[in-house]
Amino acid sequence: MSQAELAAALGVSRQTVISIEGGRYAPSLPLAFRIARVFVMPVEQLFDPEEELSG
Amino acid sequence: MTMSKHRRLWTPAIAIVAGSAIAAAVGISQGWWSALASELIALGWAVSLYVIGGRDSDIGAAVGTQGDERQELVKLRAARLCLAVVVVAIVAGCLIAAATKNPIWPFQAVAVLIGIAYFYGLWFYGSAREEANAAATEAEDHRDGF
Repeated sequence: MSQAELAAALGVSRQTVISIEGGRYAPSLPLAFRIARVFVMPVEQLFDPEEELSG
Repeated sequence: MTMSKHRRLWTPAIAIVAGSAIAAAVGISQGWWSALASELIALGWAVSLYVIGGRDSDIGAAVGTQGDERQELVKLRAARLCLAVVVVAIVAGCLIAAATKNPIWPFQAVAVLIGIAYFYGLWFYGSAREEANAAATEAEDHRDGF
């Protein structure tokens, strides 16, 4: 799945997908759950609450 | 798509309205050639804003008055920086006006307006909205018999 396709599926911009992937932006809970739904994975497997944002 | 296009027109439309008002004021005080130049600058600025608003970037989303949660945060931070620059500019303007024996009241008026808007924003987006949401939830619970 491309970044543009994921962005379209989530209803956000491509820049936001890039920022989340790069660990520069922590998504809101609703967006985190939407991402988890797209990848059919539990949200805690996708995001580590202990991990700090880079930049 | 149509909604998105309409939202993209908002910022350029505001630029044209404000630019035309300024051009009219220039026309009355300095002549209509100056007004025409002022209007052309406003139109050029509005066209630039429309073009930028269509770009696939954070700046495009901000100028096109659309964007997701991250871009809203970016806009908020940019607005905070902009406000800090405006406050510094007002203080500098006041100092220069006072030093050159010009009236400082226009700067003071803008400073008072910004101050009022800031504290209104703190109240409205802070406690007022939370209290309104709490009251609405309470009313819903009461209606549902909880």
